[in-house]
Amino acid sequence: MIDELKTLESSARSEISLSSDPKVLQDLKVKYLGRKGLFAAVSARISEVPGEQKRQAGQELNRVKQALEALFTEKESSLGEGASAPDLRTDTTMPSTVSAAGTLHPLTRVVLDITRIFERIGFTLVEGPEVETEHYNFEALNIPLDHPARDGFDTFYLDDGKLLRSQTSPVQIRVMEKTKPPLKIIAPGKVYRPDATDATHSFMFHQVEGLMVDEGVSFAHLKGVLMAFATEFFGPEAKLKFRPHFFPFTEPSAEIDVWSPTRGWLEILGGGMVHPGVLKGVKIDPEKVTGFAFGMGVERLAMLKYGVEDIRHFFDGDLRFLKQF
Amino acid sequence: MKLPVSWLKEYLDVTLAPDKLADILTMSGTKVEEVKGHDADAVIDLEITTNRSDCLSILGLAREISVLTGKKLRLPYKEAGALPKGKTPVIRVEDKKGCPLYTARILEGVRVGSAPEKARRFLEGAGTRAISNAVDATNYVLFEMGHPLHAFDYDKLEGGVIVVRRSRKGEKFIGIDDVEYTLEEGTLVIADASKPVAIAGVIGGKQTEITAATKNILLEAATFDPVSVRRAARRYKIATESGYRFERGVNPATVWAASQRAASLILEWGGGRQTAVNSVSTLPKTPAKKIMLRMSRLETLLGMKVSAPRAMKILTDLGFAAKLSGKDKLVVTATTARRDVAIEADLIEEILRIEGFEKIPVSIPASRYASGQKFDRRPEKVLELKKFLAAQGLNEAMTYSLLSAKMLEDSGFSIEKGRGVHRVVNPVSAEQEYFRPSLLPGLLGAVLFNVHRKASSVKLFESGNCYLEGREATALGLVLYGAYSENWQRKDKAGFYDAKGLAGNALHFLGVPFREEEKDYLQSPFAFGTRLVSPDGERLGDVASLHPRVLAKWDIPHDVFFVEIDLDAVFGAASPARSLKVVPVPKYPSVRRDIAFVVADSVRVRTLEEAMKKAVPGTLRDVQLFDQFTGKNIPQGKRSLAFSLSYQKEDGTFTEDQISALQKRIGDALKEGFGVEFRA
Repeated sequence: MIDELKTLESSARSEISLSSDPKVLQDLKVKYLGRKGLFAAVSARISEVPGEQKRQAGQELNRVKQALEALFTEKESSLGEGASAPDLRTDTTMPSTVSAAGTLHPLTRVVLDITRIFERIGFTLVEGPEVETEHYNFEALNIPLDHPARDGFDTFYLDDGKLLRSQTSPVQIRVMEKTKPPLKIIAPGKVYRPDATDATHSFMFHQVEGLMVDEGVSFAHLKGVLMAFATEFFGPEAKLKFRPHFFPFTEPSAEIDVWSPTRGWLEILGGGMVHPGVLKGVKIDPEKVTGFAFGMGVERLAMLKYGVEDIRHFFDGDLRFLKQF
Repeated sequence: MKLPVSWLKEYLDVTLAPDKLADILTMSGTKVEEVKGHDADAVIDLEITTNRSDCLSILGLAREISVLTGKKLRLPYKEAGALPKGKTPVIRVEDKKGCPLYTARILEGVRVGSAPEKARRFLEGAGTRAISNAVDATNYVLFEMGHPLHAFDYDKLEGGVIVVRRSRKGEKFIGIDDVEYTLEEGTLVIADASKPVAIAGVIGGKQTEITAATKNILLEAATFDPVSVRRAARRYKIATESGYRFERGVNPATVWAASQRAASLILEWGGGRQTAVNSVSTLPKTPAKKIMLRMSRLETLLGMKVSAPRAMKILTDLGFAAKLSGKDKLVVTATTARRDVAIEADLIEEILRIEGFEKIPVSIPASRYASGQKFDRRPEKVLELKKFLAAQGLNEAMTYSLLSAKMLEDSGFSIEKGRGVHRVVNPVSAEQEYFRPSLLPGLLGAVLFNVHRKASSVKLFESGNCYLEGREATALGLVLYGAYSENWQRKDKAGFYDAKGLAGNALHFLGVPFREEEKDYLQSPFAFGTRLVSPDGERLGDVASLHPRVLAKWDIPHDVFFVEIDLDAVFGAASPARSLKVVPVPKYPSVRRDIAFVVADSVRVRTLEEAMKKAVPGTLRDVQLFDQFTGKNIPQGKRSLAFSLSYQKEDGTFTEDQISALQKRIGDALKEGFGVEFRA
């Protein structure tokens, strides 16, 4: 009997494992454990077992019955999960419950776009202080006191005699004092001018300054670097126009217009060859090395890029504006 | 500077249309803002850079156009010869530095009336109204030659003398603008025997001005120290065409020719005769400086070649005396007509602007890197931090660095002198009078802005510079208001512990070890908070809940949570790239047990955590607070806390008895140390 039971158990096991339909499983259950099932048939013959082996057979009968029952129960429940009808009550169109990611400020993005382009052609990102001295903001840049050249650079003064930088050019001086050529830096930052604030002007705005000083650096290189920037920022059809201009700290100097396919000529940049007096002031010999410098205003570029109509949106903290980025 | 094309044509036969003229002027350095009118009436409006004082005259611009078009320039005046010396009029120059050259001419019997129609038309085109023939003649020469002159009614000059001196404090002067000025000490003035009759180079006086009754005229032609003129113009806020030109520098070499030109116009338009001339000059007689131009240097600087003969032609056309020196050098004589050209680089610019910038090729420079060059990694790291914070669901804001007194005081800062907040001495408005000492006021402004526009959740961060007690520092500010997460499944209000978490995450991201220090924040904008410090105890930042007093001032209806981190301190404290060393994963399973008890509010959770760990050293791997409640069944002044404890052994598992013993040890330590009560 024990052998029969063993055979029964193993065939039940394999049939159960192969079944995938609750109906089929139900039929199997009847086949094995039903009143007229295979198990019943074997157990009915317990009386035929010789006396001494009866106890052992009885124990084995119990064990197999429990095992079979357990197998059926387990299989029923596993089939039962998949057997229920598809849940049509879950509405997948309801809004997601993970908070939207935050945003970077549009000016941060534009500065990032600009500086990344220059970093790719070998410029290193540096920064300088916003609160500056007469020396760094004017004297070292060849803009003497009481000179009409100062007119373009009106500045805020603080009660301790310092001033708020009116351009990012002081960073050039600070870098050149600490580091000797070869130099290739890009310096973004806030600048301040005592202008009335309106839709296109702000007393506080951002500039990006570039400087390269090395042996044999020429105006042709300035053109090359700015061309690379223009085509990356405005697209492959961008063009540049250089107009002679005057900055006290560069000679020759130019205002540089960029042609964008969508907006025509834009006055965006200023630049030129670093004035030999400026180099001498930071103890760099202009006979050994030459350099170029350039600067651009960021807000204007950001307003063009994103279609912002009023510069004040950048600074009022309006989430309806900030969240769009 | 306005250039009437009809006036230009007096000196140059230009055939180009006005807008073509505008183009060539712009592309050679004198930028045209706009062209008004057509053909004969056209007026080209230019923006002249401060270095090109020579272009503040019709003749100066005519010379530029003559170089660019090849047309010949016709000068309306002759070389004037030596400066005169006469007995009258008496000229006393007391400040020679202030006035290196003063010339005067007496014209007698002039009939003051109108200037001819053509001259009046030209003056109007140039932007000034016609007044009388004598005055118009001086203005005519101002615009034509760039020399500001002044005509005095000679009979009204007391003593018939001209004294060029510095004013004394309190002297009164009435200008031709009818304004009475009280002069300071030290303003350069033209005076007669008793009083100032003009602010030198800036504006003439009412009492000596030319009227219909004037018969005799003293015509002044001079140069004045640009700084003195500029200071006076700024100090008394008087902007005139005359002052504008003197500030930028006037050519002393043609002053006398200008005087001659104006005198001839006055006599032509009003009759009369010249009866006396005199001058006082202390102009240095140093020979003109020679500037060496190396064509090789031009090539290095510009990246393009220009031949020496071509360079010489350009410079000669522009009015410089230039000589070839060898095959590729030029010796150029500086001229007082172009004081902006003083060094080799200036000559190179002159050549370039006439040749055209478009002739320079485009080339990408090679990069060389000096070994050992170290640049600050900080800007990159701050950018990474910003992206990290944005990923945490915060929006980046940028607020103004200059604030009003109200914003500062409402935010709990004092603007009293000596308290460290710096004031702008020349603000444009009261809204921008102080430099922010902290990011708090600006961020509160941003919160309020959004609250007014019905925002139910504001989560902002800003990174920017503050200035306090003479030190500029970069700070990171975070502000939370309203809901932290808000959707149909979860609604959490932002809380202090959220702000603390964000601050901690930010510091962790930057690789900065820190701990929290309790602080009472009395006399601050905060109701309560915690200070974040480096392991050495240096302040890294604060996390706080704003005081209701501050919220009331701002009229912000709900709590605001604020973090400010000093990025300078943080970057100073950041440990060099930590090399991560993994802690081995335990071999044996940990055992979790909970513990809950009631304890006095004043006992800090951190203290309890430390005490629990200390009670069973080496076995308690983790203590996590998972619940706090007060209210029903909990006595006042107490709270119920529940912790999840995680026991861990390196070398095996725990038995039930061991765990029970550990739990008991902890329980006893808590009872003994803090009087906690366990629930039944």
